[in-house]
Amino acid sequence: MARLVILITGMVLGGLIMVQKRVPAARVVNPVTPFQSLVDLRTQLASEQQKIKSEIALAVNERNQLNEQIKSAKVDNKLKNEVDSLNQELGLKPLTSEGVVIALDDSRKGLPSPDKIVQASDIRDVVNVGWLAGGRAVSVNGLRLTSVSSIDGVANTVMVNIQRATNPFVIKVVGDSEKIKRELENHPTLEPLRRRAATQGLLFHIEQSKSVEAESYQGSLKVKVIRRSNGQ
Amino acid sequence: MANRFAVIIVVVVLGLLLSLQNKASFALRKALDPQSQEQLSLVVALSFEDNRKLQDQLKQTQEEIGKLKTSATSSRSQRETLQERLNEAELILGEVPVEGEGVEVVFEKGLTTQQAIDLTNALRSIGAEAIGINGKRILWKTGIDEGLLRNSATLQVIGQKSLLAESLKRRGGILEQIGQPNRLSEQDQLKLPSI
Repeated sequence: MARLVILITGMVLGGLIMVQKRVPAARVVNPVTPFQSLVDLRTQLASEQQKIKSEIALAVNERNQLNEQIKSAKVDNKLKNEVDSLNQELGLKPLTSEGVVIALDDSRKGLPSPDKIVQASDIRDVVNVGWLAGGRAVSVNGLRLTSVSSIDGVANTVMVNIQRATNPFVIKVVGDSEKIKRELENHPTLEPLRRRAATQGLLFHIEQSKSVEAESYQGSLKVKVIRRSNGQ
Repeated sequence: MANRFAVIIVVVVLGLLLSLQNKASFALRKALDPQSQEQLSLVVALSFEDNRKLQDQLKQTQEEIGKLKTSATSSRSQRETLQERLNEAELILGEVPVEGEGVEVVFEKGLTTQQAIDLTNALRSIGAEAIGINGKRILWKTGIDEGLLRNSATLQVIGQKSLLAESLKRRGGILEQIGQPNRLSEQDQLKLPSI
């Protein structure tokens, strides 16, 4: 009997050791080479990204100045006004009007869990309800959403318009503030988010305002493939 | 003897539970820790891609500046520049019917609202210039509601067809994440109506 117990205990211990062995090591075996080179590369890419963004900001500034120069020239006013108005709709010019400001932030309660963290999909869902409620313009952390915008989760980072956005996330929706607020508070798509705010401590705050500014998009909206169709 | 056996079983079960718990908390720590090597590799890979997109954006803006500098010299070309702006804006805002190469994706069983939101978001990220759902043009500011894609859905996406197809089909891409059976085909000519 005793041999049998020892045999079983040995087998179980062996099993446990196997389970432990299958659990990946919490630290890299050689902390110097692979991990550090990745960290260095990330830093290098981030600094390169900052440099390109600065160059884009300068180029956008120059482009806007040239646009103003062209607009101030003797050209048909109707055409100028039309372009101006469409640029606001496209997001190339700021738009200020009544609207709502939404704040989303991670929960500070207890141990972290996916339900306590604001995900890119939460922002996408809030933005979608903003559009459904008739929003005319939306920005996330000052980054205006346009025809080329996307809101993505990369590892634990939220990227908006290929730029890192950190919490708290501030989403501005320009439009009928009553309607937008009502939809944000009641739309079924946002039910999980509202539940997480109530039970997990996630911040989901909606504020109406008479003056909300959706900032302009800092980039280009050139199209390469689409063209006007005459046969539709 | 029976007591010892019971103790051994309890200890073994406890050991197993501890091991499972350790494994689960490691997985959670790994998922939440931005420093983990796997996530870092992903961040690095995506940073390369982001930098490439930003370079493209810079190039486009510089090309615009070049054109604007030329047109700033005469009122005729100033008018042409404004007209060109107007035409482009109308294309992007769906004020006129559009056409061009692209891809078509058919989902026989339809999609949920969240899947449709994620999919259209991903399409913009990979260079879609115009998107249609069941023949209806949708813009970045079109709210997606339940029912739009409930039963079956055909997506028409205008943009560089090979780039769109490769990005959609790639391993871990949006179509794999959605997990719904679909048929994707590259198209030389797609047409979408105005809004």
